[in-house]
Amino acid sequence: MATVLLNLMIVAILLSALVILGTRWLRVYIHAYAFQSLTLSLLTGLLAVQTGHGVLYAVAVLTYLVRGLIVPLILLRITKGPVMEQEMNLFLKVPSSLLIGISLVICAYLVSLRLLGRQGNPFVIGAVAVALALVLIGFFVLSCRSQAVTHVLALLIVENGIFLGSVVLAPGMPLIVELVVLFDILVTVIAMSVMVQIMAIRLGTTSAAELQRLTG
Amino acid sequence: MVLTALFVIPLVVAIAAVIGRYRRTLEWVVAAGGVGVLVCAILLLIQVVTAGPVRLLDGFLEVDSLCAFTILTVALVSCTASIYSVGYMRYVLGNSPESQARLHRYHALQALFILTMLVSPALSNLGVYLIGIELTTIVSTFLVSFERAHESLEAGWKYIVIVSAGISLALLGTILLYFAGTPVLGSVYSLDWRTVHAAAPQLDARMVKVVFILILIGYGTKVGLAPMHTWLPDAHSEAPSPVSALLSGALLNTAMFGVLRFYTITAASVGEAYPQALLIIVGLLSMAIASFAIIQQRDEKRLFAYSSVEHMGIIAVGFGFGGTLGVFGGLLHMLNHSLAKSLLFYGAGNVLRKYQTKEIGRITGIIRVMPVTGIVWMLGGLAILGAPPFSLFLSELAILAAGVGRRLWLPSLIFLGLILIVFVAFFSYLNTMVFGRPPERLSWGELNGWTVAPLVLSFIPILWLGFYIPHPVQHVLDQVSELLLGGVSP
Repeated sequence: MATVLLNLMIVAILLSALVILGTRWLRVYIHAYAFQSLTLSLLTGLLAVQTGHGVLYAVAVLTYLVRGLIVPLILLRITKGPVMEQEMNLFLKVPSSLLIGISLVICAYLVSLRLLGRQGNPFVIGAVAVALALVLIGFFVLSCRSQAVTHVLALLIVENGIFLGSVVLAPGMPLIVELVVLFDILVTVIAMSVMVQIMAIRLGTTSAAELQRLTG
Repeated sequence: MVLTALFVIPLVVAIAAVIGRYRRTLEWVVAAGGVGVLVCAILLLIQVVTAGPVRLLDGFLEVDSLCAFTILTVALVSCTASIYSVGYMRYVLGNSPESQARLHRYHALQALFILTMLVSPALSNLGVYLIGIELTTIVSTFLVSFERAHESLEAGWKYIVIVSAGISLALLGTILLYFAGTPVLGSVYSLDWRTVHAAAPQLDARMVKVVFILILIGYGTKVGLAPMHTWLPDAHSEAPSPVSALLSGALLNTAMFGVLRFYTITAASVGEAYPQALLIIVGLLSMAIASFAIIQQRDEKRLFAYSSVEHMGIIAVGFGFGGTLGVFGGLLHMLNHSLAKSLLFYGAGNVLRKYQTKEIGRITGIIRVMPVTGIVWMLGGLAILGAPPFSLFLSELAILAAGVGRRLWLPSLIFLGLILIVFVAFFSYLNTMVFGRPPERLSWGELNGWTVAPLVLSFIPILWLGFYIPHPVQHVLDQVSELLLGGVSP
C-alpha cells in the first residue's frame, strides 16, 4: 500500500515539472511548483514513517513551509507587480518542448537504471530517475525560456530534484545540511525577486532575452 | 580569539555603515576595518602554522593551513579594496544627500561580502561551505548591479542565475558524496571534510569520480573555469572597481579552495592521476578561451576579467601538474594573482573615472595624465603577464617546470604557447593605453590619495616576492603543499 502511494507521489512530482513545459502562464508555473513541493513534503513524511529517521519529520514540515508556502507566495506577489504574466516569443513551441522534456525523462531513467543496477529497489530507481529528470528539465527550461521569473522557477525545480534524490538516497543526511539548503533557497529567491523588481522598474522588462548587451 | 576578531571586524563595519550618520567617520571605519582584517589574517596564519589548526564553535569552524592561506589572500584584497572604495565611491556617487544613503548601503554590502568570503573557507562541513559560497553570490549580486544601469543589471542577473545553477550541481555532487559514504560511515554521519577524507580510501571509486566531475563544474562555475565562466567577464566589468577587485582577487580563490578540498578527497580515494587530468584539461581550456577573448578585446575591464579566467586556468593546471613544484606554483600563483589583479582593477577604476570610458581605443597617455597610476599600472600589467622580475614569473615558471618534470610535453607546450599569445595581445593594449598623447580637455592629476595608495600597497609585495620569498612565506607554502600532497595535518 505504502509503495503504491509512494510511486503515485513520484509520478505527481514528475508531472508537475512537465507543466512548466506545457504552458506559458507564469502563475500556472508557480501553482504547479507549490503542488510539487507539497507532494515532496508528503513523500518525505511517508518516508519518515517507513525508515524511522526522526529527522525526516522535521525536514518534511520545513520543506512544506519554505518550498510549498513561503517561496510560492513571494513569487505570486512579484507577478502581481509590473512583471509580465506570460512567456512571450517562445524559443521552442509547447509541443516540441514537451517532446524534449519526455526524452529527458527517458534519459534520466536509463542513467538511474545504470547507476543503481537492475536488482535495486524499483521504487528507489524510479525516484532517482525522477530526481534526475527534474534536474535536467530545470536546466532545459533555464536555457530555452526567457522570463526572469521562469528562470527562478527552473532553478527551484532543479533544487527540488536534488532534494528528492537526497531524501531517497541518503535519508540520514544531517538536519543541518537540509536546514542550510532551505535557508539558501529562501535567500536566493528573495534576492532574485528583488533583482526582478529592480529590472522591471529600471528596464521596463523582465525578459532575459532583452539582456543582450554584454558580449565578447 | 584572532579568528573571532577576524569575523567580528567586517560585521562591525557593516553595522556602522547601517546605523552611522557621518560620511567621514564611515570612511575611516571602512579603511580601518580593512587593515584590521589583514592584521588578523596574518596573525591567524602564524598561529596555524606554528600551533596547528584553530577551531571555533566545537569544530564547526576550523582553520587549517590551506584555509588560513586562502583567508590571507582574501584579507589582502579586502584591505586594499576597502581603502580604494573610500576614494572611488566619492567619485561614483558625488555629494548629494540621496547619494549618502547609497554610500552607506554600498559599504554595508561590501563589508558583508568580505565577511562571507572570510567565513566560507573556515566552515568544516562540506554542505555548509556550499551555502557559504552561495551567500557570497547573493551579497555580491547587489554589488555587481549597484550602479543600476542596463548593463550592470544584466550582469547581476546573469551572475546570480549562472552561479546558482552551478552551485546546484555542486550540491548534487555533495549529496552523492554523502551517499557514497553511507556504506562505510553508516546512514547518519557528519559531512565534515576530515571525516570524509579519512574514509575516502573505502568509498566506491566510480561514485567518487562522478562527484569530482560535478564539483569541478559546480565550484568551477564560481572559480570562472571554462566552460561555465560566462558570467565572469560581465560581472567583473560592470561592477564598481573595488568590487571587481574583490570578485577577482578574493572570491575566485574561496571557490578554488572548495575544488582543492574535494581534490584531496578524490585523490585519497581514486589516486591523484584522475583529478589531475581533469584539472589540466579544464585549466588549459579556460586559458585557451580566455586568450581568444583577450586578442580581440575592446573593453579594458573585460580584458582584465578574461585575464582572470586565464589565471584561474593557470592555477588549475598548476595543481593538475601536481608534485611539490606544481602545487607550490599553484598556491603561490593564487597569492600573486590576487595582488596583481586587484592592482589592475584599481588602476582601471581610476582610468574609467578620469576618461569616462572603458573603451581601450579611446584611452591614451595615462602616464601623462595620472603619472603614479600610469607607472604602477604598467608595471602591474607586466607582472600579470608573467614578466620577470615580478613574482608571477616565479609561480608560472614553477608550474611549467612541474609539467616538464613529469614529461607532460604536450600540455606544457600548450601552456607556454597560450601564455605567450596572451602576453603579446595584452601587452600591446597596455602599451596603447599607458603611452601616447592623451585626449584634449582632460584635467590632469590623480583622483585622490585614497585611490593611489592601494595600487602602491599591492605592488610592493609583487616586486618583493619576485626577488626573494621570505622564510616564513616559504614555510607556509610548504605546509599547505604537504596538506594537498596527501597528508592531513593533525
